[in-house]
Amino acid sequence: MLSVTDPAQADASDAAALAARALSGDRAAEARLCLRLAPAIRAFARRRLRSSEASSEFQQEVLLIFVEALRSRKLEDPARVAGFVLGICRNLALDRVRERERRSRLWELYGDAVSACDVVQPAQVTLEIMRLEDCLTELSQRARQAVWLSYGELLSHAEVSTRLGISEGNARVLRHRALHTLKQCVSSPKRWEAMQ
Amino acid sequence: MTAADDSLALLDDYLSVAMSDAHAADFEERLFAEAAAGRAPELGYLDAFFDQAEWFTSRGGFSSGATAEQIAELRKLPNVHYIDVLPKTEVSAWPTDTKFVVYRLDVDLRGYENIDVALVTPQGEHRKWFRDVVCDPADGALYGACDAPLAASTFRHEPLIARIQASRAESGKRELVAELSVTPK
Repeated sequence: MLSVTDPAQADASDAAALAARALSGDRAAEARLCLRLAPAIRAFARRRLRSSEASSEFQQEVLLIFVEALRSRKLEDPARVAGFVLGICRNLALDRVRERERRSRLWELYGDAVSACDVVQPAQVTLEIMRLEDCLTELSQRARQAVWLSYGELLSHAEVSTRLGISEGNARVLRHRALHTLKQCVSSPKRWEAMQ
Repeated sequence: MTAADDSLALLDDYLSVAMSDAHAADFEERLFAEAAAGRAPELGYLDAFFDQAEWFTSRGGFSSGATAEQIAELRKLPNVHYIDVLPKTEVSAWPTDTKFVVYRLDVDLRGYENIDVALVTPQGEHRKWFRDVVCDPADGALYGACDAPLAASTFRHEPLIARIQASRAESGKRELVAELSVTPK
């Protein structure tokens, strides 16, 4: 039996085993599955939704449905847990499309009467952010911009190439290289970390 | 290209919708299976990258360099330390509660483009590049801002020389425009 207090060992457990344990009431296994799947759910949402708030909200909703399904034993085959969660994502995305259509009809009717306000979270600097800040200076302006437009302004691939005035192919290569360079750079400790 | 590079590129294609919906459907099956199995490091990297990029929104994105006006605004905030970098500058320790260091490099880069700054030791050992930085359009100086720990590696760790290279906008000729030295005091 894997110990949940030993992360290295616990991380080695396969998804089916984790799902089986979660189905038998192991809350730690359930939490670990959610943690593992959350980035994939967010990626699914980010491909379809523009704002980070909407992606987070989507992830929460999927995980709520997933946890409810685990606890009520709706997941029949633990080996298919990944596909099960992907199915929740797809169903929810479809529901969202229907809901959006309904909402846009409501907006047409009552939109003028509704006002919204944004809540801005206070910014908090982390070691990862400082590493990224450090590494960004090594990229060309164009590469920084390509990555920023995709991951900061959340523009689609086609929109990024239009904004940069380059072909979609070039924008893609530029972004891939920049992401690779940044990933390599941020994964190594920096001189200033040793000075702290 | 390594397998990890390929995975990162594929994930980027998926997220940026460069990947068609037909391919994305298959990709999602693999993505979720690998995530559930805890075997998707690229996914974790890009997931965190989104959050980090969001943080940079408050600083105007990933651009390198600032204007005099932006720096003047930052200097009004608490826990901000300012350094004026002249040809030979000694930098004293800043207050321990400093969160942000802002600086001005005393150089006039009007009429230049493609500005790069290389940080080297007096012995010529390379430390860091600042590529494609932008100068202030009004006075041509270079302005910047960064978190205090990061600034310490530039200003407080060892003597360094900032070699500013740029191309003349008219002729495209590449020049070493200035060298400014910084020594911790």
